[in-house]
Amino acid sequence: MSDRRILAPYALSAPATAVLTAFMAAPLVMVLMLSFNSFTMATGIRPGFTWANYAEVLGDSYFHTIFGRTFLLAAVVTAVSVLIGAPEAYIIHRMRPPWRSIFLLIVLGPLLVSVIVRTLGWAVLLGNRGMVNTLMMRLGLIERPAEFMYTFTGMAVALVHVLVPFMVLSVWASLRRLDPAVEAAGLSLGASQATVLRRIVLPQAMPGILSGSLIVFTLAASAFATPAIVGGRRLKVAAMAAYDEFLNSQNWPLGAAIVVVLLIAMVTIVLGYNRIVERRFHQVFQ
Amino acid sequence: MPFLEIQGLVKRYGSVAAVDGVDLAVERGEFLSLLGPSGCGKSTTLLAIAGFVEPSAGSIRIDGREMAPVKPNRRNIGIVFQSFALFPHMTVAENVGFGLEMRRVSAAERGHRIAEALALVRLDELAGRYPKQLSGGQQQRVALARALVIRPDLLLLDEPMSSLDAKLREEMRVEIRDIQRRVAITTILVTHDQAEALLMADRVAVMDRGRIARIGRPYEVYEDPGSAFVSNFLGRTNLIAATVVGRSGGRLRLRVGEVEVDATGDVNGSTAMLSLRPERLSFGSDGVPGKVESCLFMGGQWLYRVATPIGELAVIRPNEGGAHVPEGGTVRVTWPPEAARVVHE
Repeated sequence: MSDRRILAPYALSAPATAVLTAFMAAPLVMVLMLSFNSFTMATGIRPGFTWANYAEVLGDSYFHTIFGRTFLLAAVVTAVSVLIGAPEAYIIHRMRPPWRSIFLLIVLGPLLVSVIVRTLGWAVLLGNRGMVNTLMMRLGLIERPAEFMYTFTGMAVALVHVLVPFMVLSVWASLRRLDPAVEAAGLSLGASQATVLRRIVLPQAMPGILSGSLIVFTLAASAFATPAIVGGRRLKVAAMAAYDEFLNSQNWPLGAAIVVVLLIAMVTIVLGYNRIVERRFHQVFQ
Repeated sequence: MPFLEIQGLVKRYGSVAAVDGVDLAVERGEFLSLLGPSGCGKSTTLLAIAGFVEPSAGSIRIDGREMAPVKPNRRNIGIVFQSFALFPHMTVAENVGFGLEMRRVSAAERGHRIAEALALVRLDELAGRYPKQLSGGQQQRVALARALVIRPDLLLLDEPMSSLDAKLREEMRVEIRDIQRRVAITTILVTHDQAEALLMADRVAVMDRGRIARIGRPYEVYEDPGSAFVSNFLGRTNLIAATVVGRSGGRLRLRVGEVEVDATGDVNGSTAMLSLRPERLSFGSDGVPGKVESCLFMGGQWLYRVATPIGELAVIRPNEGGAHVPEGGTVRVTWPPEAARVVHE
């Protein structure tokens, strides 16, 4: 009887373990092994062990630019998502019951539409002959189309739109644990509404803002579809670089090395960030 | 002039009046309790005093000053909330010091006053802890210290004991009352717990459906509740419908079924509601005959249910260590003349 009980958790998690092993761990190990193979145009992929791919990724300024752009983009998107998402979550939190769920649904609405469709929507809106430019030129506000497509700004705007719901959800979840009387207590002690927000609500929303930042940062750094469509070939990010190596240059080992570097960089950032957060906000997390 | 004066306070939500014409005058240093069942308007009245609810009509004056244009953060009122509402990301000292910081009290003076407030609630040693590291009673003391340290004009206690367990609640009642006397602060307690209101307050205002049904000293209100609602809400009582058969000098002669009893009070008309407090009833050699239906032991007391010709009566007798009347026993229920009261329906 007792043996069964001990085995039950393992048995219940077996399907998930099998799926993760087959489709996550195994491919990752294969990618890792692939990244140490060598490749030439003439011979193709040759098994063996070489650091040459990593030397290229870490030494070539072409890749420096790509990785720099990737993480700058992720950082900018995260910062903007915090600035938009956190106040949005607070406003939704303060709404009365019927409106709260309606607006939450509106915020989450974009998640119901495929990323590709949404991003193509941005292309239609922001293209040189897109609706925004056409309208502004007709109105005589600008003479030549303002460039959104194939710019860094365009990529950031489109990614924020895609990712801000994750921030709203995350902050909203942490605000739900906030005791409503705490704000009244702050006011009764003489604090202004702004001080209450800054000194009482914000610190308690911090866990949500920080975990939302992690989600948005990792999704932005590994994003492929949105940068590919809005940024185009000219503004490559790491995920696109890996894609190109695999499918255009057929240099699978180099592509694998890019993937491994991106993965290690992100895991390092996420773990470091988590440690700082836990140390700083341990009493709120308890 | 009373320190806190409320006149004709009304608060409507749509067509429902949560507070429906409350007049209240509280003297400086007085401890008043607003008592009533949930939905009677006591919390709304408290929130209106604090400034979190805008009255639909009426006025609230503190020390002669009209409060309508004063925002909640300028009213200088200390509040202890039901959930305590401590700031979880701040230490005990930071929680208590927050109100002082908002008042731009210097750091040195602040430290001094925080220590003083924590000593008042006997928490001096826990200044560096976070709220989640404290027990319920300790959290409540922090909330009280935080409300008192700003030297408010008025202290509002919103069901402050309802999240504590029974034993602790009894201790905190006495402790909060003692602290209130010591700092002599005008205090309003909102509660649905009649024992709490009677024990702590100088005066009790029993509220019913948005109005004050009865206000007075706890003993007076308990003994002379005036209405069936108040007598039933304050403690327990036996309510018996009776017919008036005679009047003489402030006493009524009532008939219940075959039995005639005398009662204090007056009514217009020919019917009256008779109130008999169970603890004023006793078993004697004369009085209304009855049969003990059940007998429950409550520690300090025995609670009997007795079937009599005037209806089923609850009787509470102190446990004096002797034998009790067993179930099925026949008794005669008697009471002193002044224990029989006539109340409004």
